Amino acid sequence: MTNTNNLNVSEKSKGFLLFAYNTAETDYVKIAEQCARLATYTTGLPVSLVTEEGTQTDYPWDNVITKENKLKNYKVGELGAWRNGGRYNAYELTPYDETIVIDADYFVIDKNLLKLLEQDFDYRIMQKNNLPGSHWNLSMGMVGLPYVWATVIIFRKTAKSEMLFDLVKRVQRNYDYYRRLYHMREGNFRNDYAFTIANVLLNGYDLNEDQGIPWNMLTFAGVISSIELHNNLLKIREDKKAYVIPKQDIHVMDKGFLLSKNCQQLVDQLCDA
Amino acid sequence: MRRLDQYQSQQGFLTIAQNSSECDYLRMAYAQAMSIKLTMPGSLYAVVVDKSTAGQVLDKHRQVFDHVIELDEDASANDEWKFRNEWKVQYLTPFKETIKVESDLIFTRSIAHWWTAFRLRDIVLSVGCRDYLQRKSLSRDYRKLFDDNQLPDVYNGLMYFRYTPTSAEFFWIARIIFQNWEHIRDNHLLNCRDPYPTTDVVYALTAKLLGEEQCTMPSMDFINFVHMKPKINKFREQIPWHELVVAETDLPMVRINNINQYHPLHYYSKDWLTDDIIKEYEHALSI
Repeated sequence: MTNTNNLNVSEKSKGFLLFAYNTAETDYVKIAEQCARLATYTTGLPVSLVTEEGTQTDYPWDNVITKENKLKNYKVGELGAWRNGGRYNAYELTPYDETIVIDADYFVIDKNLLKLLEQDFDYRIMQKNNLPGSHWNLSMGMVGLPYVWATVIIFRKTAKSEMLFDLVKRVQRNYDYYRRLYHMREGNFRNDYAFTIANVLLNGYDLNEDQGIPWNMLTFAGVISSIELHNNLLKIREDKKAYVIPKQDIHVMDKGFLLSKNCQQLVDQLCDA
Repeated sequence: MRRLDQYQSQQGFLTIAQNSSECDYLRMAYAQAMSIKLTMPGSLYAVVVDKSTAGQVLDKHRQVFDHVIELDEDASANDEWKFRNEWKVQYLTPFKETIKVESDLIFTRSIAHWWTAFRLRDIVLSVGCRDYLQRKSLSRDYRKLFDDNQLPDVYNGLMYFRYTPTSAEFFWIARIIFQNWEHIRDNHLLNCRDPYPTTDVVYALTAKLLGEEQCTMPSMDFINFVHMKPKINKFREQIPWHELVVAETDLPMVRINNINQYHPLHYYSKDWLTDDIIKEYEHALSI
């Protein structure tokens, strides 16, 4: 029965939840603002921000939720520092019944995520990733399990979803133990790995691959010179390569580009198109 | 060769266990029988042994072996790889319907519902195999001979048969290939240098001659097992898989690298089956 027939049942609230914690090098909140603008324009859904006390932002967020995050990661020469801890708080902090958690560097350009919300599930995580031109390890270690991408997680407020986030919290708290048990390559905390482990545990020690988001994410991991929109095609230029793809969601990891004027122009163009 | 009193039960599992100088197959059959009794209580189990192995069957083995069948003649007496008796299973099985398995394979959950699927054919060979992640393996590292000769990708690790003209013909062809292996290898197979006939190759060739459609069901893609040969799992050959990743027993379940093995597990590396695991099975079955 839908809410049009039953006045006691209210429409479920839906929205995006972004986590953004600034570092000395990178204004993640500014990146999140562009991401939020695009997500709302594309889907019509509100966006809430989780950040720390004292963060300045002029963007008209649906909610700004403050939560302390002490975890810091460093990778010299590439991404600089980043602060990715506390993603497990999403379940507790979200103001929505149905939440799409995305990384601030994920551009919502098509309506596929919205379509996915029409299906029945507790949670869905991005399982597969295409990284054109990049050679990323797609397993946690030399003999590690293939991992999911916590870049996009969709969940409803159900007992199973709650268990997922509780497990992620446990993995983060005991990361050194799980790092050894799961043969992880890196020492830095990665949400991707924590969600992989929680997902495996929660589903009876199974990869649960058929319950993931049923398409591949498209990630550009290199340094981006420009991204332009022409006739429903995205032209993505790197230093020595270029890609032309249909207008679709993309995950752009180059923080320099995300903070550039070109990025802002692209979002302007996508929002006005 | 068929005896009138051959069939004593409707259905059951059967393996051949012929101990060699390097391998105690009887011990593996014992673990296999226990895994079957644990996951599919009431299932019957038969083991085919040669004279020498028969002398090693203990009372505790007989608690899970419903039938111990001794080979009259051992066609593999002079072979280190003892495969030449495989075609005889059709004449030795005490079951009207048999799931024949290799002895280094254990069951982690019931496959009782597979019987229904198997009955769609007179004989069913499993097609393809899985890695420990439960994914269908795409590796062709151990299957070059099959690809070179365009043989069907069948695995003898687990098969089904019942007595019908089709299965009789299957085993008749297989017998001819086993008994004339050197000639067939040198004249009819490309790039084959196996000194002894391996059952996978012989049955693949048999399936090709008989007609793949008669003895495989590729659309039933759950009828296969996890194969722990290193390259199927993208592991290095030099290190046994159980030394490379965590292997945890929570019987009847076995967890490899934190992944439950829901499909039958062909553990391949014989050293994985430790005395502790045997004791765990015995404890679970009060043996």
